[in-house]
Amino acid sequence: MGARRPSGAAFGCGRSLGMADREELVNCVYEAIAQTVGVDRQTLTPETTVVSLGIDSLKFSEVLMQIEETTGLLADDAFLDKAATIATLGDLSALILGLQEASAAAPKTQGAAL
Amino acid sequence: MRERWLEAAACLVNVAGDLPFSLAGRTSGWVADCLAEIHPDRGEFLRLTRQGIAERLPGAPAEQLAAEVFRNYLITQYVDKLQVKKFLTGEPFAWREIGDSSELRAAMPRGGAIVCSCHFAHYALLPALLNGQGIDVVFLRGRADVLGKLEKHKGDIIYSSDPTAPFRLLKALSGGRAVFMMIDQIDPKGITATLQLLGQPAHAQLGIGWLAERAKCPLITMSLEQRPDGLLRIKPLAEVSPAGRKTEETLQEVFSSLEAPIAERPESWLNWYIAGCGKEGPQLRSTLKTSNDALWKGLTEWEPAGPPALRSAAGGA
Repeated sequence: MGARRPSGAAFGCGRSLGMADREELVNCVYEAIAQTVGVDRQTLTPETTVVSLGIDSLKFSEVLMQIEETTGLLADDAFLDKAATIATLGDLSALILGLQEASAAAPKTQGAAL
Repeated sequence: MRERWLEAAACLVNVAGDLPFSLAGRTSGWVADCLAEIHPDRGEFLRLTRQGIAERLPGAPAEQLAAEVFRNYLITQYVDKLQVKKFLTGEPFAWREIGDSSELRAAMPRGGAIVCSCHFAHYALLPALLNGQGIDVVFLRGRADVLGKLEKHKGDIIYSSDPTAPFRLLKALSGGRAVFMMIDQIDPKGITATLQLLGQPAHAQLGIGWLAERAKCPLITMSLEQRPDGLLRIKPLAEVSPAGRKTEETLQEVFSSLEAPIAERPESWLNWYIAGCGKEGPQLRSTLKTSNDALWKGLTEWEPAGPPALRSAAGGA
């Protein structure tokens, strides 16, 4: 994975993200997907569907674990309820970005409640 | 005639749901007898079950056993689920009766563990009974069906139809919780193998093994039997570690641990229709789900067909 961060790093620390950080977070999501599924990162777009990548429930759990590890964000039940219904990678990125923002509003939370 | 059987079953389901286990047993049998008359898949279920018994337990009375398997299937699907719902909604859970649980407690490791078994009579009660013994387990339900989405137990119930179910299970296991699931409940495409069960090939889903490997936790196999005195007994069978071997080998040990109780109480095991019928199994399971949903709808929507005056009085009460 390209710009891999150490475990527990950066995005879950409750801070607001600038534009560059937001792009990096989205890139982390795409890298996690590319690595887990075994496809070229450059072939992934916001319109790419989860189904077209052959991501079943086990693969999806690996994707989420990878995202947790590389971003420091923690997926909780509320996040997973929404993640269960996503169709595209754009949906997943938006979900993670939106909830990272929510975590920034709760800086005392340990990790980031996705 | 069908309406009469449905009416009788609906009345009996309500009664059985309120009785202690020792009293409800006979009533549950009556429920099964009523539903057997109208269940559209009875013939196919019995045929495939007889086939499975003949293949795996040659010499056993297949006709009689198949009828008992179907009876247990109906009780498990239509009466036990009401009891589980009562447990989860905090209502008095009359069927908490259980034999000595010291062996059960000793079998539970510290930290995360996957408690698993196959489809047997009363299996839906098992996680509730474990909880009743003070053993914290997450329920893995196939789908919301009759239990509905119980917000009160968010985090304690995971639905295998949810695409995030494996991730939620891993979270629970890594948090040190035990999870109760059937060996075929995580059913991803392409992760299957042919194992051996009672000397015959058996189609297996390997999702549960994948989960144990990722969570680095053991699989604890258990059976549930109803003793002659009416009490239910949970029996720990084996602790299977996934460490250092292939998923298929782990699952074969799980399968092997289930053989003795199946051979001992074949009428209690409901998975004959899956394990014994090869390619037809998934199709029948799918058909059974559809039929069960329709029957449940009929049962829950059934209302007393008494005189209109009585019905309006009952409705206003």
